[in-house]
Amino acid sequence: MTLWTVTANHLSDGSVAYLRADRAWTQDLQHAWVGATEADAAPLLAWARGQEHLICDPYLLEVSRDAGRVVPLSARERIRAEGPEATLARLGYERRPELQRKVG
Amino acid sequence: MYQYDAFDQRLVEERAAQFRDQVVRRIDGRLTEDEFKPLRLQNGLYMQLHAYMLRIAIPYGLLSSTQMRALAEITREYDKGYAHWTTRQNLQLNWPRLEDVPKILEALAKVQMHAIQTSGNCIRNITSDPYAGVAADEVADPRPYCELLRQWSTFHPEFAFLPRKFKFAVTGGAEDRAAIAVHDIGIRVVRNDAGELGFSFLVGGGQGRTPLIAPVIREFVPELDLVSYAEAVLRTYNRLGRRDNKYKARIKILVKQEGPEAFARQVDEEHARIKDGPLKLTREDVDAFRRFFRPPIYEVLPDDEPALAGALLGKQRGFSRWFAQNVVEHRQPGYAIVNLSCKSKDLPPGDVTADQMDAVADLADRYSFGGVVVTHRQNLVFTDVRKRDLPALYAELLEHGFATPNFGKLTDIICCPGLDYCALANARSISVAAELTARFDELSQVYDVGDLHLNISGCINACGHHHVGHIGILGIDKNGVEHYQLMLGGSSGTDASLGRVLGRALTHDEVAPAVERVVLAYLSLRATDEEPFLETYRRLGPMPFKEAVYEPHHA
Repeated sequence: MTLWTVTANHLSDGSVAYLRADRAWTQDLQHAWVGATEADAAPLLAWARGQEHLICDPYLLEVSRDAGRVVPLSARERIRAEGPEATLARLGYERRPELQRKVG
Repeated sequence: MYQYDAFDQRLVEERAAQFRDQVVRRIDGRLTEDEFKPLRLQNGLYMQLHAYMLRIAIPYGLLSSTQMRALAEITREYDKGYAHWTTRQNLQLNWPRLEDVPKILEALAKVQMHAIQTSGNCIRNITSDPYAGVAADEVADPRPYCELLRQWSTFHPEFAFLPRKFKFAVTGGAEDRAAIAVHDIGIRVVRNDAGELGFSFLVGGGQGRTPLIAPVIREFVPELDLVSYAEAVLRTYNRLGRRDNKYKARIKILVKQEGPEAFARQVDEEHARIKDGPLKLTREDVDAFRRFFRPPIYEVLPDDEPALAGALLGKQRGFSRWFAQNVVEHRQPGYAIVNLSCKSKDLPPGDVTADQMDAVADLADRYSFGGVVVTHRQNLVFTDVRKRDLPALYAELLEHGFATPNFGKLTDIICCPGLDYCALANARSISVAAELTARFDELSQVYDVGDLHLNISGCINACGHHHVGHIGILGIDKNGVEHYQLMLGGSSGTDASLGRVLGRALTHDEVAPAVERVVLAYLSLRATDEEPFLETYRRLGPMPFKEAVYEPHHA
C-alpha cells in the first residue's frame, strides 16, 4: 500500500530532510510523518514550501511500510534514505585511513 | 599553458565576490530557491541526492602543478578528502557546504580557475585531445584554438541562454582521442591541399536520449575564421533550435530535422554576414595564443634509452606490462607520454584523493615540466616524461595508486557517479564497475582481451558515454528496481559508432556475469588473437553475443 511523506534537501549542506509530525525536519526517514493519502500530505507540502530558510525544493515521496519500517518505493529514494554513510561505506571511503579525518 | 591577464583575473574574482553575496542573500532569505538556483548553477553548484556538488572547470583538461595542489587543498579543506574527474575533463566535489562554496571559488580564482560553464544552457567547458601538443599524429596543437574558443564563449551575452547546453571538442590528431563525433560541435584541425591550416566542423552529434554521430557540415574553415564560423553555427542554432521541448532542444535534433546540407547553408549565410567583422582573427591573434602553448625546452636525448631497454629486458614484469600498456610514443626523441590510471580496485572509477592530487603535482614537477592533463576517460596524463625516468616514475606511480596497467583495457572503465550521488540517475553505476573490475582484475585475463572500452552510465543522459563504449551499460529504472541495458559496438574514436541494445534489461547482479559471457564469446569468436573486440563485433553482428548472454547453454 502506497503511503506518503514530505522530503527535501537542507539548505546548508544539501543533506536529506524529511518532515516530522511536529513540523521539524529530520534526516531519518523512520522519524518522518507518514500519511495514508496524497491528499493528507498535500497541506504539509504546502507548509514545507514556506520553509525555504531551512530546506530546498520539497516534494511528496511515495513510501510503504515493511515490518514496521518506512521504505521508499524507488531505488533513488531508498539510496537517499540510506544516508551518505551508506554511500561512503559502499564506495570504500570509510575504510581509507587517510580520509578518516574528513569522511563521515 | 595560458596565463590569465588582468582582465581574466578580475573576471573570476568578481564572479567569486558576486556569488559570496548571492549565498548570503539566499541564507538570510532575500533570495528564494527559485531565484537562487540559476545563480548557483551558473557557478557549477548542483543539488545531488545527499549533498551539493560543485563542478570545477578544467579548460581542455590542462592543469599546472600549482592548480593541482590548490584542488588538493580545497578537496581536503572543504570536502571529504576525495573528488572525481569527469568525462568533460572537469573535477567534481561531492560534499561541499553552501557557505563554503564562495571560499572555494575564491581559492580557485587565486590559481586562475573557476566553476563557470559547468552547468546551464551555455557553451560548456571545451574538451580536447589529452595528448595535445605532443601527439605524433598531430596536424597542429589544438589548445590555442581551444583557448580562443574559451575566451570567446565565456559570458558570451548572446549564448548565455541557449535552447540547451552546448559542448565543443577540438582535436588536432589524426586519431580521434576527444570523441569529437559525439559533440554538439566537434572540430578537427586539418590542412587543405594548399597546406593551409583550418578546421573541419562536425555539428550535431551527441549522446543522451537521442544519440547521433555528427555529420561534417564544412570540410575546411580557414584558420582565421574559427571564431566567426563557430558564432555563425551558434547563432543559427539559437535562432532555430527548439525551446518548447527540452528533449528536442539540442542542436543535433535541429541538424537532423533540417538536414546537414540545409543547416550548413544557413550557417554559411550567417557566416557571410559576420566573417569579416570583429570576430575575424588576425595572424597576430593566433600567434599570441600559440605562444602560450610553446613546447617546453626538451633535452637532446637518444630515443633508444639504454636504461629503459635494460628494465624491459630484465625481470621487472610489472614495469614491462605498465610500459606496454600505459606509455605512449612522444614525438620528441627520448621522451614519452605517460597515462596515469585512475581506475583501480581501490577507488570508484575517476575518483582521486587529496593526497593523490598532491602526489601528482609533485610528480608533475619532477617528471613532466609541472603539467598534467585530465582525460575524458577519467584518467590523467603526463605529456613530457624522459624515457630514462620511466622506471623511477613507475615506482612512484605504483606507490600512489596510478600504475594499474589497464589503459584502454576492460578495467579502464568510464563510469558516471550514478545513483550513489546523482539526482538524475536511475541506477548505480559505481557498484557495477566495482564488480566488473573485481571480475576482470586478473591481469592475464585482461591481457588476453586486448583493447576494450567499457562505459557505464546510470541514466539516459549518458555522462558515462555508454553509447560509445565497445561495451556500454545503461542504468534504467523498472518499477523502482535498478536494471541495466547492455549495448555493444559503440566507439568514440575515428571510426565513431553508436552501440546497439543487445536484449532485455538485466538486474544488477546479472550484469557482471553477462559482460563476462560477452568477453568469453569474443575470445572464442575472434578471427585472430589480434582482432579487437570491435572488429569481431562489426564482422559478426550482435547475434552470437546475444546468444552468449541470453542463451548461454545453447551458445
